[in-house]
Amino acid sequence: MIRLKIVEVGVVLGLLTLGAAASLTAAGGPGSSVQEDPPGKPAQQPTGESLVQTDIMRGVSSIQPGSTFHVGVRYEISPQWHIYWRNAGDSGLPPGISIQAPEGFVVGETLWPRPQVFRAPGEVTYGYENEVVLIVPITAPAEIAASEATFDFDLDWFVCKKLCFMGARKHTMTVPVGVHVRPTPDLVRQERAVASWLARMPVPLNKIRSARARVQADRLVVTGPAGAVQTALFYPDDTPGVSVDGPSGPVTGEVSGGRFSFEIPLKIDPENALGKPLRVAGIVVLGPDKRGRAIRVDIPVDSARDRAVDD
Amino acid sequence: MKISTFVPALCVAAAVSLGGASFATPTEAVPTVAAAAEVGKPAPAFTLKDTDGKTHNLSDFKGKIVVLEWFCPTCPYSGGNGGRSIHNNGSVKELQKNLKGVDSDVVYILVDSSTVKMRKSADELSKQDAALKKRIGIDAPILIDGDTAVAKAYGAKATPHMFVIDGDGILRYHGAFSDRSDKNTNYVLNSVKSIKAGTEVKPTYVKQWGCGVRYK
Repeated sequence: MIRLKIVEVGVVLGLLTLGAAASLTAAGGPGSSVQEDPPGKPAQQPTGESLVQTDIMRGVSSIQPGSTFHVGVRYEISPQWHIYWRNAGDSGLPPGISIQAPEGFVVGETLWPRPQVFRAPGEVTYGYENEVVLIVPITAPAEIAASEATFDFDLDWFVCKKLCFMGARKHTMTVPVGVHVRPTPDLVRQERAVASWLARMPVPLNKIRSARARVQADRLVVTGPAGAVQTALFYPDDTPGVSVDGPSGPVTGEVSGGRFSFEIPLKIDPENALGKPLRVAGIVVLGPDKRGRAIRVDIPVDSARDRAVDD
Repeated sequence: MKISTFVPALCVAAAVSLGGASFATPTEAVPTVAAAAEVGKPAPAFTLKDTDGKTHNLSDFKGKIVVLEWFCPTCPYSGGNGGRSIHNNGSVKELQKNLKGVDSDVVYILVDSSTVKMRKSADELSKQDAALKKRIGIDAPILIDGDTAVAKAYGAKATPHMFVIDGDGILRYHGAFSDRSDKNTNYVLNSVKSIKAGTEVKPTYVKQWGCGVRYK
């Protein structure tokens, strides 16, 4: 069913492109996107597919039974356009990754690097410009009879500047099993890229000694080492039933004596939890460098509210 | 194939709107976004004209449940653009039918605040919406919020962003149209059922998704 839907979208977008080319001829006045095209080239209305290129990067040259390996989903985004973080913010929608894996393989939770913040009158959103790699951990079963494993990826995304487009694409990845494979230069490049993006992922708070998070009296209290940076911001996740009690967008923390601290008032509405356990989550981002360190916070919220919960 | 018939109008709009500089600039600064309508409190009053020039006041509907749907004619989730739009995939028509089944007096209204986003005057937007309404058969008035003041007052963030107001003018639910992974869970329908039954509306908010609403 999912596949059929994506094909439909592709067809619709194709039609839109054709219609757009005709319309742009008439509408392309000063300041329109027509002006950006080289002279003589036919005007092209963007589509979700033309704005975002995607590919799958193998983190391993071969799969060892019982091991966990990482796959990178790379998005190359046209300049000035962006796709979204897992919490898109006030509007938008995160990209969807659906993976069909051989029996016995377990596809883990997607890892998202620290996003950028996009502000516009009336809204704050989170996402990525230019290039981003989302990482999917996959665990192989202890025994694999086949000599290779094939994974089918169904990707979709929402790409916006001021207007928005939807895009979708399918990819297939086949990886040898068990054998030692001498990696090609391209495979080496892919493995290095996946390792490099993996190193940029937010670190779970409980992996950092001297970092603490708890919910106490409807406040999220987070403290930890800040290193040399002077700023710390908290980007909240979308956690149904628990939200930051204040304006949407990042929350500013205190940085002093090499440590950051947050005390964030929460709005806790168990009736809005959509049947899921109440939790508060997000990332602490340190310093202004978009490749800088980020720390992942994800802790349960007691519906009785006042009991302190240590991470 | 129905979709291809209204493509040209959408694309003209898109071409005009695409021209400007990037409006969303990455920044680490702390934003300020105005507070919005609150569940349990009176919904902000409004006086807006629809695409036929008829004026609508929220107070006109006293005693009736009012559903507001923030709308943008070119948004892939809200407008006439693609098979995932709630107006193209039958979701809105199904909701309207189901709402009538619960309460024949429910008022369903679209509000379009996309003048800034689409760089159009209220008049131009009204004409575009009128044409789209006719083409895809939208069975609801489309109110034009030319200066985006009503979007600001409600805190409408996305298209679609839904608001359910009870017969006393109290906001009872706002947020997502439906569950993203389960289209059969429609929060608006559930809210209206609860209001009619005199039971607690639950949930009162689910995060909205879709295209952004830009304010003046």
